[in-house]
Amino acid sequence: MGSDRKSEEKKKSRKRSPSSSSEDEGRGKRQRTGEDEDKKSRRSDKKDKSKDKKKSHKHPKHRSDKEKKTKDKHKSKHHKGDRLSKIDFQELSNDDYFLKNNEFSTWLKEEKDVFFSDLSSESARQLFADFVKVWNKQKLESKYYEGIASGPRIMSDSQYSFSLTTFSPSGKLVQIEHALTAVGSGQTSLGIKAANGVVIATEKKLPSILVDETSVQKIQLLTPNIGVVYSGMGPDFRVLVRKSRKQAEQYHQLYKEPIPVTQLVREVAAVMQEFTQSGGVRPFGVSLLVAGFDDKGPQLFQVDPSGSYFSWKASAMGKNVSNAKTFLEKRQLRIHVTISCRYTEDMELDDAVHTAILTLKEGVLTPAEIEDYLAEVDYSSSDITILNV
Amino acid sequence: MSIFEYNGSALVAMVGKNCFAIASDRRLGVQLQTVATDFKRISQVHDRLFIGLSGLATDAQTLYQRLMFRHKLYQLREERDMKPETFASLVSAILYEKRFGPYFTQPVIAGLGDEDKPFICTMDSIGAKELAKDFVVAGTASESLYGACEAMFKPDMEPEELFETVSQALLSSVDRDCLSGWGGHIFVVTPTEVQEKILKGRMD
Repeated sequence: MGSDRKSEEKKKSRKRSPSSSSEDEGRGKRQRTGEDEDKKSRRSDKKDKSKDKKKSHKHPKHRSDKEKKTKDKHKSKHHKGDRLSKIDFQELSNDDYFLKNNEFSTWLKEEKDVFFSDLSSESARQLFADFVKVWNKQKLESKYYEGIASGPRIMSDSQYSFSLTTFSPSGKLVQIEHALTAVGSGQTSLGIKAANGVVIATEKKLPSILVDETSVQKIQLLTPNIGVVYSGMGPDFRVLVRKSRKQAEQYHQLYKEPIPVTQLVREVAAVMQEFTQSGGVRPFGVSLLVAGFDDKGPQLFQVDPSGSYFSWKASAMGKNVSNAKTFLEKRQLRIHVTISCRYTEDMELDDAVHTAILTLKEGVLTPAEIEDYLAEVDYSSSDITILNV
Repeated sequence: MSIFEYNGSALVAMVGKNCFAIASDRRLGVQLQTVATDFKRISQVHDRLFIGLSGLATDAQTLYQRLMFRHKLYQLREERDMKPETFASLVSAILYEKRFGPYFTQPVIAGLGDEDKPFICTMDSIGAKELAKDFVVAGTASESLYGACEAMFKPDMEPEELFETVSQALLSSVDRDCLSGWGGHIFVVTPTEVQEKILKGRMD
């Protein structure tokens, strides 16, 4: 007897599950539409539940399957009527094409048996006009008026295996542009190549004075002769650092010689590119400045979320890029002029550090203060010095 | 009989002043029966880098193909030739990949590095490198080659003298080994040129 009851309960719960899931969907959407509605619906949910309980009490054990089915049906019908009256109805116009896209594509699939993505935009517009008519006559099922979170726009089983970064009709990859926005709003960092070395610098602005500043390390070493700095999302940067260190180490394992800067940059860029073309991932929200010293001398590269990379004499990224770049360009011009008259190698790296600090602290520090910082520096060539300003 | 001795081989590389020589015999046999008398065991990787592969000929050829593939890929990617040291590390890594089913071959690598510094090296079939300043040997005639080279080597030889020394060492050694011989194939590499010579020895 007891086991019978259990199995019956199981069946019941299974039966009920579809309706409950639709309830969930509705709820999720409603929370967005407004508080008042939310309260109403919650109340109605409670009612439903109490009714449920009563029913199950009335007929505790012996109910045939048929009976149950009819009850369920009845319940769901009741349900619908209840809902429709409580949700306020909005008239649609053809301009709501994008707004009601989920509902529209669900309707297409169920009524017309086509996927939204298979339609040309013209025929989609036409069908949408039909949809609006039916909608405005309030002849659709209640779920359409409650709102649908995601519509079957494409062949349903491949829906999740698609890459996030899919070309927009204009040929852009919007996700990459968003990633570049994330970089653009990150803290400023810059790099300057000199004759005998290369400087990378970044702002180390802490969110609060309570933060232990030794725990914030925005410049990292990839190999003893290659360093990297970023603008954008810190956690994404860590992933890239880990991957590139591994790559550098693998190169070293194979050839027993340090990886050239260009090779490491190419590997990092390949990783970043992969994340613009794979399924289930998003592009990195960082741009990198990779600075290194190898057989070819000092080198500076910038790697972007798209996976493209460039070699620079000097570059900046993050907040205030344009200001920083203009500043660097002016400076570069001035250096060119100086080189033609007087050229010493030591001056170069010195000047690069000077320029880096000036650019970052444009208008904040006086030249005299910068001289003080520079006095602390002691660089021997092909060594890496980390300055804290 | 070891599988390394199936085809028979003799390989030697020797360092001179800003130059090196690498030489091999020309016999390909199947045990005691000679099959070919113009077999090549030494190949040019790039202008100033050579590799000789002693041991089982089939493995030597397969390994050679893999090495050339990797080197071409490296050239395309890095837009430069491999340094001899780098190439040796690559060979070693590729051999060790097959640690438990190795290529039955023992390579000899010789090249000119930066500033024309000669580099020679040999390794066993699973990639244990053995670097030397003077000469390296491999193959079935290696024991007699050791003796000959130890007796004849002088430091800082000019290319002409180096050629003479390597030739004498090779020819006298293969005469004491029944699995290698039938003349020799010698490369003398200087910073400016590569001389390739074919020697006649006891042709029996």
